[in-house]
Amino acid sequence: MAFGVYSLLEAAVLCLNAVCVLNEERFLSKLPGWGGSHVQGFGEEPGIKTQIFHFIRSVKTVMKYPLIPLNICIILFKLIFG
Amino acid sequence: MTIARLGQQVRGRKPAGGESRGPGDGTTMYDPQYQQQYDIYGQPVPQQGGPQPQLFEDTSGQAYNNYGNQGYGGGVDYGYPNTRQGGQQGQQAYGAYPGNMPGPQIFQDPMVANMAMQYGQSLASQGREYMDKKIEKYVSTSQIKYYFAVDTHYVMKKLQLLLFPYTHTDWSVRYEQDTPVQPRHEVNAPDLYIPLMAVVTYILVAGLCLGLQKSCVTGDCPELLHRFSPDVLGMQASSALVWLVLEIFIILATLYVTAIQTHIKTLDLLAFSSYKYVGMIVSLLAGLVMDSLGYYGVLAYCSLSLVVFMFRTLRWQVQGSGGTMEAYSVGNKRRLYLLLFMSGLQPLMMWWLTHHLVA
Repeated sequence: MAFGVYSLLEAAVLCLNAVCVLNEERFLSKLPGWGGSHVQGFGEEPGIKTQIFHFIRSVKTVMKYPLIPLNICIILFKLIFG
Repeated sequence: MTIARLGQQVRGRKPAGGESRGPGDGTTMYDPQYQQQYDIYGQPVPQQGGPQPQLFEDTSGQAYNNYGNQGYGGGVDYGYPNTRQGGQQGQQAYGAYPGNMPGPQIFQDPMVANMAMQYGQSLASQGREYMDKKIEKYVSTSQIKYYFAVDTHYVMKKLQLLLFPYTHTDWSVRYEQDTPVQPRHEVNAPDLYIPLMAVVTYILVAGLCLGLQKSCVTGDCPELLHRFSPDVLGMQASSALVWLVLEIFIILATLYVTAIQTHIKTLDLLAFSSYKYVGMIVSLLAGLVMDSLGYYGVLAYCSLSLVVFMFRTLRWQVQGSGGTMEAYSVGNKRRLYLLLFMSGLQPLMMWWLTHHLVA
C-alpha cells in the first residue's frame, strides 16, 4: 500500500537509478538491436523494442548528473530522520 | 502621478520662483515641482492650461513603467527633463521629491477619490494579468477552465452514464475547430469537476468507513477500537493521490512505448482515471449498509459499468476521428490492447483501494 508522496518520490528515484546503472559496454551493447537508430524507416511505427531502447538511452543521458544530488539528498534524509 | 497633477489643478498654482528642491518643504507639494524643473533649466514657466489635457489620461501604465525611476533622489533627476513627454512630467517630478506627499485630506475630494480608485483598479487588473501570465507557464489555466465548464444537467447525465452505460448509443464527441466542445454542451466529453468531487468524497467516505469499523489489534480486546483518527484521513488522501499518479504514469508510459497516435491529453487521462472513484463511493456506501455481500455485489456491478463506459468512451478518443480503419493494422491491434488494458485496470484499482475499508 502506498504511503504518501515521499514514498512516490523515493520509488521514482530508485527506478531512475536502476535505469541509469545499466552498463553500456558490458550489458547494453550485447542486447540485440541496441545500436539501431539508423534502422528505423520514416513514417512507420517504431517497434516496442526500439522505443524502450530510446527511452533507456535518453534517461541515461538526461538523468545521469541530476541523480547524484538527488541521491545525496535522500541519503542524508534517511540518515537524519531514519 | 495623477494625484499630484490633480492637486495642482484643484489647489491652484503657487508662484514660481526658483524654490529649493529639498524634499522637506511641505508647502510645495502640489504644484511647483512641475514648474521648478522648468525654472532650473531656465525655460519659461508653462501656463495653467498646459497640464490640463493630461489630467484625465490614464497614466497608470506609465506609472507602472516609471516605477523604477521614482526612487531616485533629486540629484539624479537632471536627466529626466530631457527625455520625458508632456504627460509624464508630473509623475517623475513627484517621484523626485519623496518628501512632498499629499496629505490625507486630498482623498476627500470626490474627483481625487475617483481617480485614485480608477488607478487602483487598473493596477489590480494589471497585477492579475501578470500573475496569470506567470502561472500559465506551469499549470495552463485556460485548459483547466475547459474541464470545469459544466452544469447540473451534464453532471446528472454523466453520473447516470457512469452507473448505467448500456442504453447510451452515441459516444462520439463533437469538435469545434479542433478542440472538443465544452462539457456543458457535450455529454461525452471528459471533465474534471466530477473527478475532483469524487476524490474528495471518497476520502470522506473512507474516513466514515474507518470510523464505523471496529477492529481488534491485540489478542483479546476488552473494548473495541475505532480505526479512525484524523491522521488516517491525510494518509488516505495521499495514498489515493499516489495511486492515481502511478496509474496515469503507467498509462502514459504504455502510450509512449507502443507509439500510438492519439488525441488524448494528460488531463483527459486524469479525468478518465478518476471516474472510478464514483463507483468506489457507491460500493463503500453499500458495504456500510450490508457488510461484505453488499460491498462485493455493488463493486462487481460498478466495475462492469465502468469497464463498459471506459471502453466505449475511449474507443472514440484513442482512435482519433472516430473508429475509421487506419492504414496499418498494427496500430489498431495496439489500440485495442491499450483500451482493454485501461478498462481492465479500473476494477482492479477499485478493489485494491477499497477492500481494506470494508471488513
